[in-house]
Amino acid sequence: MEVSNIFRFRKKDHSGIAAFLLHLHPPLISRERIRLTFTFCMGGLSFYFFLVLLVTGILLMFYYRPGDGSPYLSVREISELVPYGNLIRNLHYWGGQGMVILILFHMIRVVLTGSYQGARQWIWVVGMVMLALAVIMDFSGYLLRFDRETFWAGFVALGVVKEIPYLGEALHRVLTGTSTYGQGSIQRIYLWHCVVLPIAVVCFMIYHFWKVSKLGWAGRAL
Amino acid sequence: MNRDYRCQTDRMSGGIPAPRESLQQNIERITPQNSFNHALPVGRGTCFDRRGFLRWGTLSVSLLSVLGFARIIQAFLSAGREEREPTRFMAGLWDEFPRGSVVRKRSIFVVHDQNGIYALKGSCPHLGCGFRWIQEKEYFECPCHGSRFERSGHLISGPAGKPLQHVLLTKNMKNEIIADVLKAVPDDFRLTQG
Repeated sequence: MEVSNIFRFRKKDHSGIAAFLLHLHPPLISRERIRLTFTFCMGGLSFYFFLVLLVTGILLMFYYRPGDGSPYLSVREISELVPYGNLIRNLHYWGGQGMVILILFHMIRVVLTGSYQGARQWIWVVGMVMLALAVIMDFSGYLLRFDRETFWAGFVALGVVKEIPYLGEALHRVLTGTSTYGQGSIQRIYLWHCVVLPIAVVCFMIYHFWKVSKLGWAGRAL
Repeated sequence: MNRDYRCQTDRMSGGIPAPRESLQQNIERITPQNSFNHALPVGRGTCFDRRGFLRWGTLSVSLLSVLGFARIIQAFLSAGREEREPTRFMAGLWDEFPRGSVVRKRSIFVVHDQNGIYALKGSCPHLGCGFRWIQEKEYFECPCHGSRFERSGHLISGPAGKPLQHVLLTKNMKNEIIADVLKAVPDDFRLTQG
């Protein structure tokens, strides 16, 4: 195959951001790579779910109030008063659950095809970090509802954080801004959920996709 | 390979192949598998081959779904939090309501007669329109359906079936008159200066 003719950009040496973008969005994709049973598309689907969560999450931020009023009341307002609010909230909720499940299946596939080895090990490590972040985001979103059920869930979970030897108290203070979990903690949980963790996940994602594209999928060059 | 799949070339040029085509491409173009193009109505419009049809189909379906979702987002974002009229508020000081006057304060009318001050709810008992005090004729008249009420709130005429609702007035420590729109009181309720 006359690669140099097809990849016209090969004639110029691309570096930096151009090479990065071309890895993320190559002009040609092999037939093998888009076959469904090759990876079952689960990494891509979890990214798609992430996009859905991003859009619906931003929409929910227009109405959610983490402050001194009742956060639960604003959740009730979204699902009972705002037009299509229930749709948007349920898309966000089920999107979150679906993303965690898809990431798990994606990782099972990676283990079964042995794609975590060798040069790909950092893709795997970053993937595990993203799994952890996804679970934390899922749980912190659950805490934002702040009804009786999720209050006790947060109370127990952050109580466990507090029990970490030496670091616990300080970590609890950093995560929630309070010494005991309560409504005052929701402001911080909200920011972790909506701003800090998503930005971190996007950074890891960029590395993940770039490296996957660069090394080829499951041992085959693109 | 020939990547120009648009099929209007032979129509535009009257069947004469475009000069860029090689003989091989020309033979490919008139072979039977391409001949369905000729069954399409002849005109100046674009005729689609499979790829073009799929491209425009995908594009228009995505555009439609984007429009649909834009409508949902527009409806979702349009539920703002309106500032509501307060139901309990400071109507004014005693001196603002001289004897014989009818004064509109937010959603109520404050009336001063020989027995004292009372307040009438400012929405028509018929369908809830806000109404006016007509000073020359000495009655309240609703602009929506013409119901009329006396100074005391009694019904004179009109589609409304009930008199105006009297609401509670109280005085606080600073001698301010506080109205509470949600608390109904009987017709003979009066606030006196004492």
